[in-house]
Amino acid sequence: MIDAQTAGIIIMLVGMYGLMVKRELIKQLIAVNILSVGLVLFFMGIGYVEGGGFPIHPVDIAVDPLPAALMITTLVVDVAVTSLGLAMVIKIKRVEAKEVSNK
Amino acid sequence: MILFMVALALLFAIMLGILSYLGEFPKISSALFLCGIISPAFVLFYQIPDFYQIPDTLFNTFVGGWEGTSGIEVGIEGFTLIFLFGELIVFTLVGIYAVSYYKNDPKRYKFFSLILVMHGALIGVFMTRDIFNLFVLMELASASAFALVAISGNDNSNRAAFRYLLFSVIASYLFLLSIGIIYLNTGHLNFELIGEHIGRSREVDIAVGIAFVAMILKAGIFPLHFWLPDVYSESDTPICALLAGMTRRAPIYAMLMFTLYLPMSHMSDLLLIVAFASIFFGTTMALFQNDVWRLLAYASIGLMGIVLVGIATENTMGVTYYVIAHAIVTTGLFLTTGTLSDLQRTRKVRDLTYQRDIFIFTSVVMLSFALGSLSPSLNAFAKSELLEGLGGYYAILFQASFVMALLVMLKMNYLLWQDDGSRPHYKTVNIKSVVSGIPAMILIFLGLYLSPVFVPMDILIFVIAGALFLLIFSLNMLEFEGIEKLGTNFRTLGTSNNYYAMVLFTFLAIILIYTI
Repeated sequence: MIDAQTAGIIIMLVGMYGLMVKRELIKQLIAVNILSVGLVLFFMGIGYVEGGGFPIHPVDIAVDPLPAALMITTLVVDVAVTSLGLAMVIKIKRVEAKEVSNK
Repeated sequence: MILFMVALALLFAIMLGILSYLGEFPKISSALFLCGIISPAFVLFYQIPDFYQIPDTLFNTFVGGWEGTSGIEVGIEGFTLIFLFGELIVFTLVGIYAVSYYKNDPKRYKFFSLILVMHGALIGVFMTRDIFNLFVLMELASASAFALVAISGNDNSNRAAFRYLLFSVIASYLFLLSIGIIYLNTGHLNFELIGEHIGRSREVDIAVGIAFVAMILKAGIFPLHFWLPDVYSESDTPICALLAGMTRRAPIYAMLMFTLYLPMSHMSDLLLIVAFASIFFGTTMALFQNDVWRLLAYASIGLMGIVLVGIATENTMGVTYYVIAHAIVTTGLFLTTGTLSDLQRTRKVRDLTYQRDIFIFTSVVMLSFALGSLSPSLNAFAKSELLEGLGGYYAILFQASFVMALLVMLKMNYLLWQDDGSRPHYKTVNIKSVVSGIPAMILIFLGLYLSPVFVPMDILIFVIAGALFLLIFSLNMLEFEGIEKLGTNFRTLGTSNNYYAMVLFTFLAIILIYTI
């Protein structure tokens, strides 16, 4: 069975493939999102410890909490940038519609 | 205390955001904006005990007092102080210009807030010692830049901003991937701790390779420059000056930190090839542009190659001086040409003229010589610093780069000097033309202060550039025009993004094969 890091890299490659073949701007944004999900999985794999518990409890073996903390920040960045990108797509569509009607 | 530099800029950005909901207060909003721009400079100057004897490490602190492996370290030392000075100079000049530029614009609150967010984020970038924190702050600065380009008002600005966003975000995720690999190998995110614990391995080489591809894309260096000319040509003057002047310096700072703390000697030859390819591609493309901002954008792509030469030779101080000199010169050129194009309502370099404005004429000529790194200027001093790490053919190619840069500037000045009398008459001196002239004076003053000598080699470079210009002129090659246009509809924009993504991933694959 493949580990989480490898799975993350494979998902990132799917995102890269999407960027190279999908022409619609929204699909390109989704491809970037897939890329970021792969990255999150990759980081989760870095922090994973076999049999590890929650790091907030006094346990013998705990997973590394830092990658999870970093990924929360990354997800926030991802949400902000995606929403900004979608707003731009809407505006591009409006401009295009205006250009078509002017013709 | 130094953290207040970031906090104050962000605080004023929030205050402007709140003020926009309360109503129209043009004077108060301008005052708050200028306070946000200048207050970090006061904090910095208050902290520096003696300007004549600045120690190597000025400040070092941990955010929230969490020291060691769990805290985020921020600090200011020799070269970061120069980056900060450059940042503060560029933002102060552009800030004053922006107040005048957006005086009657209903969207000025948005512009002012976003510029302040970018200001705070970039100050943070130049202070942080934590690799993940660097990523977050760069993203904050980039997100402001996307929004600033998008709201610039032009019909095409959203298209340019979308492409910028798409590829900048991919670059960020690639950078984050490299951070993950470095963390996996060292267990640290602090640059100094990474430097202590890292060893040369295939994984680390891959991480460094991926990080450099990401930073080359963010810095707009050939062959990953495709987003840049459109973004510049579709933005407002102050936004363009900020993007050209400072936003692209953040990835350069990241590259510098990598050269200081990570093993990257295996990358130097490849980086030199990319750097010289960028220089000659950028300057050659600049020769055949009709839009003055596209011309400057391509010249900027070329000159960022010079920065990459310094990074490849691990010449920290040379890179630092050149980055700041280049930041000030590009800011000045975009502000002066932007002022001209706003007054004359055209961006075409052969339709513009600076003949009727002695102030802008003097500024553009001085900035053009500074861009070609002719002494005395800060660029000339930086060039001499960068030359120290080079030898043999690379040194000759390096001097040839400045011949090309001067050639581009000669072409631009020749066309700007022409005046067919068709342009409308305009008020010659205003606050914008005065502000846009200051960068030239700063560069000459700093050049005279740091290296008050005339370099004889500059005469030879100027003569060769002049001879090449006459050759191009006699062959009527100045008539060529750029053919690159932004995708004019939804589908062609998407298709061109596909091609650029292929270029990006092919370049990434080449770098990875080379590093492995």
